[in-house]
Amino acid sequence: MSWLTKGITYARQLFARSSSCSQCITQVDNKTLLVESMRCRSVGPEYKFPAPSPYKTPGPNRHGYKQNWFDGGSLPRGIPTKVHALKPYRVRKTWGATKALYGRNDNIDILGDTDLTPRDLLRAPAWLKGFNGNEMQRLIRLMGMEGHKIRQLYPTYYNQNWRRIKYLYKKYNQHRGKPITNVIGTQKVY
Amino acid sequence: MDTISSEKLGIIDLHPDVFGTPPRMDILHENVVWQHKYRYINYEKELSKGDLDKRRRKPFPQKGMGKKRAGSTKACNWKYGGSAHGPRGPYSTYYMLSKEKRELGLRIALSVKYAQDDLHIVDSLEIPSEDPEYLQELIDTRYWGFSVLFVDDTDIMPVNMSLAASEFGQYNLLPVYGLNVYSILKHQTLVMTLAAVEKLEQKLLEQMHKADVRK
Repeated sequence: MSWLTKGITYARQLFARSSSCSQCITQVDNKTLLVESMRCRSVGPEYKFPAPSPYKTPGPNRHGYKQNWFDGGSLPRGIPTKVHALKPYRVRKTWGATKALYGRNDNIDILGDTDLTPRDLLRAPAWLKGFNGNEMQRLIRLMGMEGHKIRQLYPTYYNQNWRRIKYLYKKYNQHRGKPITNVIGTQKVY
Repeated sequence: MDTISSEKLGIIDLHPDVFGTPPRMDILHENVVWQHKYRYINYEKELSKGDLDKRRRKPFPQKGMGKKRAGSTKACNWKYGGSAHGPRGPYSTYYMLSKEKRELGLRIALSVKYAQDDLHIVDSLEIPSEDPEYLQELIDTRYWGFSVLFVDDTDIMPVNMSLAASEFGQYNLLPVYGLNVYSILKHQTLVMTLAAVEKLEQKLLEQMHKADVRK
């Protein structure tokens, strides 16, 4: 009796589909009708079989065929509403207060009436004002100028800086070699 | 500057050494680079292996754990470890360009502006009203371009002019001692008073013909 049960279930499914479709059409407006009707029937990709070649093929490797879900057309990703990777474009103020007169008073020692130099007008930390040196020189200058403050306020920073200076002193003098003594062949002239 | 349209008041002599020097792009470039560099300070810093507040001890024994051989957790290949060859502390790129080159750069910039018809000389910077629209209309009718740099010999500017120019970003006022290559090149036209021209010529020629060993 299996054929009978199968037939009954099939008929029931068909009836259910048709009834749901009819309900959709009757209830929903014209705009949403398309979407609902699409949901009712099974929609798959439209597969086009390739044209058979006139030449002899090596043989059927696969007897069935694999149906690709994506077969041309636009990608199923939806409509991109917003680009998240880029920051929002910001117009730079090229004539703002800082940029409009950038570089003023840079030739004050030539054009000015006083003895001022552009070095005097720099805004920088005191140990870096008009100074360009390596790390050890900078640290020594810092500790000489503001070491007493740092020692009171940030004692670990103070110790770290001195340790760093010692380390850099060794590092910079690593490959300098020793003074040559007791070399055979050098004639000392006194 | 009393009227919107320009009127010719007279003819003046410009010194050929100041306003007629042959243009040299390299000198201008050197000047601009120096202006950027001598004031620049980089505040980047990364902690090295010695600066971390960590104890130096072996994290796990050498053998028997199935792990790598590790001596300390402060190494740069560890997470939360120190960085090797990172930027160290604030540093400045300060250097001073020689006075000769700076003075030569100023002369070149001025003569380039003059050769391109972007240098205008006026009697004074006083305008009748403090309305910014008046200044805008004046600049538009005289075809002075988008941005204008007004130069006077003193640093006390006329009230109407400063009030009108404060509404815009691209119209700026400078005394003679504030003049530099970057500002001259940034602004499209250069408007100078007669007194400013005389003072500028005097200062530049003094610097050119100084008898000192170090100029």
